[in-house]
Amino acid sequence: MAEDPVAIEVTVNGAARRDWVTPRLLLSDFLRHRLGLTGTHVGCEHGVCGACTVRVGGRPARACLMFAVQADGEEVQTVEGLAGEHGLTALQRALHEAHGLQCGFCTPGILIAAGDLLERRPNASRAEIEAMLSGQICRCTGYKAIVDAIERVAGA
Amino acid sequence: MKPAPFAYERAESVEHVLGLLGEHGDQASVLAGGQSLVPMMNMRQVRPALVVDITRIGGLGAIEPDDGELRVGALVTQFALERHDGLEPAVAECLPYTGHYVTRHRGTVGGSVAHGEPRAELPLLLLTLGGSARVRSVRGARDVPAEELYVGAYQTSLAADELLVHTSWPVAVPGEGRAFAELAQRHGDYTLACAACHLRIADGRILAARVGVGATADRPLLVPEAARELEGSSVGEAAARAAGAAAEAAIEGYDDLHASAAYRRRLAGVLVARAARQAMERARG
Repeated sequence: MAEDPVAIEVTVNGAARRDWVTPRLLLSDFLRHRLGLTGTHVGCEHGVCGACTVRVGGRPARACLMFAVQADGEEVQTVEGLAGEHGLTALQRALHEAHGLQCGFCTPGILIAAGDLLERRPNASRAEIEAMLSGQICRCTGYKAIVDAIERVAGA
Repeated sequence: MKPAPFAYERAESVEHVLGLLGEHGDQASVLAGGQSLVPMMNMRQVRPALVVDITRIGGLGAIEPDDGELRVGALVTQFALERHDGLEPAVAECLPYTGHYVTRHRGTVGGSVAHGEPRAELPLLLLTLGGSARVRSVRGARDVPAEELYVGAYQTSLAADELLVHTSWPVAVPGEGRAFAELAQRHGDYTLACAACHLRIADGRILAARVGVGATADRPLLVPEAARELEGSSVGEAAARAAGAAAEAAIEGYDDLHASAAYRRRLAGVLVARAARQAMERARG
């Protein structure tokens, strides 16, 4: 049994990235410290706050609850991969317009988690949005404006 | 917080896992969804020398009917089960309480059952429905009834070399009804108490009942005192209230930052009555 580094290849926001990682390296640290993608925020580092939420293989995931080695061969999407050549996504625009953020620390995780919900449930109800957001901690807004923003996209 | 160093093996088959557990079981942890194991590793509550990643192996991700039971492969995520067509209402109402929207996308049914968190919803429901877990090792396979699964907080009767490969959930037949009820301070947080009820009725009487409570001890518990209040009674509000009162009197509960033992007992009683009421409603069809 060795704790030696392992070679991995991960597609991050469409670009192939190769690296060597020790098994204990968290995906959140790989994204931030190896790739410089600091949009993935690290709050609690034990799966509670939701700030580090990214998508792996098309499913939302806490990046602090995955080891980078587990992402080998997978497609990872971070907040940096959301906006395209046409600018902000509808959800990003709605959060901006509805004042759905203050300090912005929770925003990347919320964009990924809410984006996933809206992709699966394009007409998600306010109750579904609130249930989803219970896993994404925001200490500034009181949530109302965030729910309003997501609901605006769901109802569009 | 970062996990202590460990060696990592990505298993390619069930046999590969069993071989690794046969050799290193005492020092190894099985990694499925990782939604319980990885936080504990990050907080250094556990320091496995070897992590066996089973997420890439095939054959453990099916949900299929099996002789009156629903067989759920160990790697079926909580989210996938929640979306399963024709899922029993009691299971469907329990799953949204299991973690959060994001964690349910990776958290597995098998992992939740094998982890043995005393406040977890799925172990309580499996126990109350009389389900079981199929485990395998290089020594063979066996079915462990849920009653024999939990020995303490985060402790199961599984040996270090055994792997849970699927759980079996008895499906309700006409005349049977089941329900689950819970209260947590915030949606998705650890529950203050939860309860489940499983009963069978005929001609307006309850013929058989099982009642379980979670988050009141170091493991989910059956409460035979509450089941006895239901058995033989007429279907109705009086039976539900009597079962709740019997549960409140029978369990001990415990104090923590969030609730006193007395509050937990009271809450468990209320939830038992609520689950019994709903189960009777469903049994009537």
